[in-house]
Amino acid sequence: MHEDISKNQEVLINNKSVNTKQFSAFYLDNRLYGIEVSRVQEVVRSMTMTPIPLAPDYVRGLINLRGQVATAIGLRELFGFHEQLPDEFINIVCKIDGMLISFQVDEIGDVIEVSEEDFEQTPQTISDNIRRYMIGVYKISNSLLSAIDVDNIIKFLNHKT
Amino acid sequence: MALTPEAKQSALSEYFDECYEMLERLNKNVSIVEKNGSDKEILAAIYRDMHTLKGSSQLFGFAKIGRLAHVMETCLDPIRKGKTNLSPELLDSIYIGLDFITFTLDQIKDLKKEPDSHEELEKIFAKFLSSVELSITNLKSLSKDKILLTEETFEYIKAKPSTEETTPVSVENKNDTEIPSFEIFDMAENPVQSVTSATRPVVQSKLEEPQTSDKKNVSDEQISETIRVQVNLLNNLMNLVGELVLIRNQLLQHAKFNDDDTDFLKMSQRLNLLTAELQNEVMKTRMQPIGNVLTIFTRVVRDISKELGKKIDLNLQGIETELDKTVIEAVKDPLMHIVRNAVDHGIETAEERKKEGKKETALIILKAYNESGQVIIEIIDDGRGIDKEKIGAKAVEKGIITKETLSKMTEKEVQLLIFTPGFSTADVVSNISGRGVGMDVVKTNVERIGGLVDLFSVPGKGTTIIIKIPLSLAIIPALIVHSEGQQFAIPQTKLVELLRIDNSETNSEKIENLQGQAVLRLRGKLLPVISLAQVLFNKRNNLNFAEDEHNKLNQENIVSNVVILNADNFLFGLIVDEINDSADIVVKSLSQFLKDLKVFSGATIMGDGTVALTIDVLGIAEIAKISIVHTNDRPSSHFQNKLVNHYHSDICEYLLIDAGAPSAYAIPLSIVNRLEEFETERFELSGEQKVIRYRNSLLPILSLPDFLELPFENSKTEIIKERTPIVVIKRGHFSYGIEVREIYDIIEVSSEIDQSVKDRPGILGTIVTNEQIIVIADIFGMIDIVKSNLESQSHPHSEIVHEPQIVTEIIKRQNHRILLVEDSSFFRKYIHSILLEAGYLVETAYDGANGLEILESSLQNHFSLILSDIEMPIMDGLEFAKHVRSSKNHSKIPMIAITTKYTQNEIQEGLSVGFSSYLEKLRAEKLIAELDLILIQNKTKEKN
Repeated sequence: MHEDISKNQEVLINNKSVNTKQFSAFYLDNRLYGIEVSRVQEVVRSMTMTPIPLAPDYVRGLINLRGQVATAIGLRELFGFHEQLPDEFINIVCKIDGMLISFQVDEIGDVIEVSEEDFEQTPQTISDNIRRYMIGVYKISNSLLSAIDVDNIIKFLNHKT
Repeated sequence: MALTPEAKQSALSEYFDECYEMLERLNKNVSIVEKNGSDKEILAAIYRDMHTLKGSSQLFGFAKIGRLAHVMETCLDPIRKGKTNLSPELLDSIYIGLDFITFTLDQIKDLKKEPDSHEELEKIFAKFLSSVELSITNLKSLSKDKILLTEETFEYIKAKPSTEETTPVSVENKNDTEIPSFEIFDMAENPVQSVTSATRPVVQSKLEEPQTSDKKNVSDEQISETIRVQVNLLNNLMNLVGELVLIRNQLLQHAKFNDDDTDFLKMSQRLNLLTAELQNEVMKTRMQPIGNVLTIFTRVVRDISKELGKKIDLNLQGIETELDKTVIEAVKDPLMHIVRNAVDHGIETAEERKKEGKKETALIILKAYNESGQVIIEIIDDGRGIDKEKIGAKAVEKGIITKETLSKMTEKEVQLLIFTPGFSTADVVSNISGRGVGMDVVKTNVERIGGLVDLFSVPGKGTTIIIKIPLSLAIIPALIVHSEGQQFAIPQTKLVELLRIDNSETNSEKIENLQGQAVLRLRGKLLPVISLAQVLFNKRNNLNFAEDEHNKLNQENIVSNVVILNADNFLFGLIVDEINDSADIVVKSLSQFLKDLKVFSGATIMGDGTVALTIDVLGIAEIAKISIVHTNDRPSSHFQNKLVNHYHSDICEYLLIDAGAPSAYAIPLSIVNRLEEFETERFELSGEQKVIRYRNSLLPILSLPDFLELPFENSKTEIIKERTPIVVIKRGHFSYGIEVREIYDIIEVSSEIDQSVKDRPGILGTIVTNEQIIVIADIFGMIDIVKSNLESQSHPHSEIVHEPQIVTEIIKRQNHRILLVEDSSFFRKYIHSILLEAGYLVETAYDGANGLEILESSLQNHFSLILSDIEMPIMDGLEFAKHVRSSKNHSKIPMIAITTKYTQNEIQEGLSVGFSSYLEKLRAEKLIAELDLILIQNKTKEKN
């Protein structure tokens, strides 16, 4: 699957004339998602976490990120894929409103450049659990990338609790 | 003089800094002069600052400030030279002038140019001109030498637009036309030149002359030991030190596990010391004396009191107390609000004060001091205090509380209502304190920086507001605790004490069960107890209070670590698995959605690199739904002492019980040792006496309902209950179990015990509160009566009571004055009333120190005898006795100790320091008998 994506990427890079965006691709339960590259501060492997009692299950804990405290959000729990959480996970660290938030995903993919022409609104049939965090969908040659809006996630979390 | 924009900008910001600094100093100095009269040095300093202000303002082209400063300088000159005195009028004009300059500076900063017209500004300016004129007229008549100068000034003022003294509008017009405002940031040429060209040349030349000649002096003086640094720079420095502290902590942790490498250990120790020192010094760079803020209040109080026609002295204490700049900034507005409130609402008018028999001049004390790593600021006024009725009525009217709630609230609770949002007491919204924001803002602002606000008020006497704030916000000392294997940090500011409670031992500090809730008896007070594991992880594992005898056996050697915390002035205990070190932590804030959990205030990185959450003490208390009602006006130990110092609290605690009667019965909490609940079947009979096996001995059970023999339904019929609540009372060496129907609650009551209604033994008297009548049970009296039926035990203090020969004694007693020293207001009142009833004259003191004060200020034979409690705050009875015995005038005075429990050792100790005997509180006859004995003996000795 990875190879496919890199092929897509090459194609897209050759097509520079169109309005493009870069997404950092990641996988949850083998499905493809992306966060805009400009929003990602860094990607790190699993780290020791301090769980937060009383917090909702998708708040997995706090991470010491070189002296800064990052809050880890399990996207699986947030999106409602509770079954069989993987032992290992990857942290995608973003800075949102001055706070470090680490989105924990199963696997990290490549940087994918997408064209705005391939953009579609999120179909109404998608579960609200995920749809509310999505900007929309990008059609990549043999896959679909669900674009995630990290600001929306935080806005929703702040609103919810 | 082609300055680059950057250079101009930086020069300008330096100008602002300097001006504000000078204004602050000017305000301070002027108020000193006003208070203490003319001091040559200070006057010179004022003159100097005014001069510098003038010079630099003109340099930057701010003509208005420059001219004003010039006028003031001119007025001050004769005073500085001692030719004339500073008149109150001139002082007023100087104050107004300073206001004008401050205001203009603010405007310049905001608008980036000198304001051309502003209503407020014009008002101040007009006021200044008219007052200056007034003072100058006075000057003229006073000192003929200065006529020339004043005329010159006049001319200067008059020369300005048409007529200043008329309307502000004319001033405005004039300013618009003659002095164009400068876009200083776009101006490339020399500003001074533009000023010259824009203003009248005559004026300008006059101004420039002193400027050049005096400039040298000024610059000489400015060579000093300080440099100005941007606060931003200090902030960055502070952040970096914060990071360094974290790394240091991690390194120390690492060194702990590598202790075979001695070089590494040494280096890490060295690094540790250096980091601590560095942290300390960097914190110091941000420290400012709180006086910087407090001194502005002199001005505020002066102005407002004048406006309101009140006479107020403001007394500042501890202005050198240092605080972090951010904390000072944060606390400035709340303080201002409190002070304004005190002046506006708190202090009465001079006439009112006269009527009340108070000194006409009111006093407001602003006191700052350090205590246990925090800064305490007290705002004390001797005004009218907070009227419970008025506040209550207002709160009901505003819909903050209902009438029913109000009727149940204590005075303190009602007073605390002023901190509720939406509460403003002023009948008419005045422009002084009623500006839409209430004391609730004060409270939230102080709490936001981790502080506490508390209030004590006695109607008619005054109000004290206490603010407790941390020294710094960035790095705070915290206690690290463990719960369920996870580390948590508790800010030290909320910490009262740490306890290790062994429930298997027979010590008095235990976690007990009260109606299914865990409570801790700590020095005679019941505190609610919660477990951190229960709150955070919903586990009830370590709440090992003794349910009953049986359970307790299984729980031997179970030790609880309890952290006593102060949440918004009520105390509670938090059980944790483990108490670790205390550490300086750097608090990082949490994401918004985690703050909403309420239990955590932030996170920090520990020495081992893990992240620990910091506990929000208020939040935990809220989540655990700790009953605030019962504990609300129990101040922390610190506040409690304060309370005793300021106003002698009349609040006493009682245990509310069901004695088988419809009315409420209560036992003074100070005599209660423990609360238990036993299975009814475990009671046994020894002869006719009901007993229970209790801690390796037999506890006699006395039933209060049976003893009282109240003729109410159910009172005699045996109600078979599975469990019986028992109040354990300890007297001397013996414990007694008092059987009651039910234990309800602990209440705090401030009313007097009325002894007129006591129809039977076992009743001490009644207390009338707002809602009900509470009957106080005389447990010791009941024990005495019941005990006479008990053959099995002999009490060491059960000698036959010497019955006083009433008629003759009462007359004799009236010759004697007794000093009663007792901290518990209940006993103080109770014994006081007993002594009075018997005919003795009594004076009371609320602790040893107070007793000593009273004694020292009295004549040698004023008191015939001292009755003193042993356990008292501040100065206990033993200490007190030592002082009395070593005093010149009173060393011979007989002293009797009165106490609830004592051992032979304690008696020995008491006797050795000078007490002649020990008596139990609450045994009236015995007390009077003993007094008669000593005082009459004394009398006979005197006759001999």
